[in-house]
Amino acid sequence: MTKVPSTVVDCDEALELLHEYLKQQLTPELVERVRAHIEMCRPCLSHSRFEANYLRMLEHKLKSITCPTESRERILTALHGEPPLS
Amino acid sequence: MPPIETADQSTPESFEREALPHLDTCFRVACRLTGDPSRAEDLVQETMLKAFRAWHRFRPGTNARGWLLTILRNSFINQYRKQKREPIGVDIDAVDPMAIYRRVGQTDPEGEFFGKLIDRKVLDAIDKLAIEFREVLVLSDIEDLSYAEISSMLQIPIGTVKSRLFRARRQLQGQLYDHAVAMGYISPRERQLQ
Ligand SMILES: [Zn+2]
Repeated sequence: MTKVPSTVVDCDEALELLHEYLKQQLTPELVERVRAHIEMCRPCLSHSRFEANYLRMLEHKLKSITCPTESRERILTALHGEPPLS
Repeated sequence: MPPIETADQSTPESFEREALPHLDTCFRVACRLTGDPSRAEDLVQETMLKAFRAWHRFRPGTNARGWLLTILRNSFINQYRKQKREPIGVDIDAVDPMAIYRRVGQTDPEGEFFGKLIDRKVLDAIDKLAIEFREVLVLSDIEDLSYAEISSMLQIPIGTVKSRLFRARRQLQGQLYDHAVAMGYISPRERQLQ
């Protein structure tokens, strides 16, 4: 059974909730309402794609940064030099 | 492989198992907080040692990542923040928050524009944000912490998390627009209107 959202949000609400929607921070009910709006509204769909591309770019550019191996080893050495946990 | 120790969580093994997988996250957040990879390494090492010493206070099954990041942030605030001049936050009124969208939003559904941006420039733009905007942006948009996690970590209401995030994203996009115009990826508005 497909539940039809009782109220579809308008453009202002959709844009306000857009990032929370893209970051999966909304309740399932709100997700459905935002999705229903975006699917039928071209300007909001284009906003949604744009912000999704922006967020993907940020993750892509920053998530590749990792703790350098020497630093990781230094930390492990320091941890092993610590007195045993009580 | 030895069976996973469940009776006693206060073991070096349980620390390595639960805390160390978050080392990269800690390092990325430390890089953006300090703006300096070598200071970030020191901050992460200090964080891990403090966390190890306090490991008996960590409740198994709770959020190790949030716990580590809280220690990291407190260490940063206590020691590092005063040593470094605060970056001048971008004046939100001076940037057009929708500038990039207006240029490429309609014509670039695949987001090729964002692919052109130079990694270093994006990092610099983030590092120019005032600390209260930078930290929420990094925690949410890069490390994917939930608003609730960020709220409890920074001890600010969820509504404040949202409003800071909103401004942080707009300020960042405004800066990226300036960068893109300077690099010739997009033309400034005046020329676009001709
Ligand atoms: Zn709409």
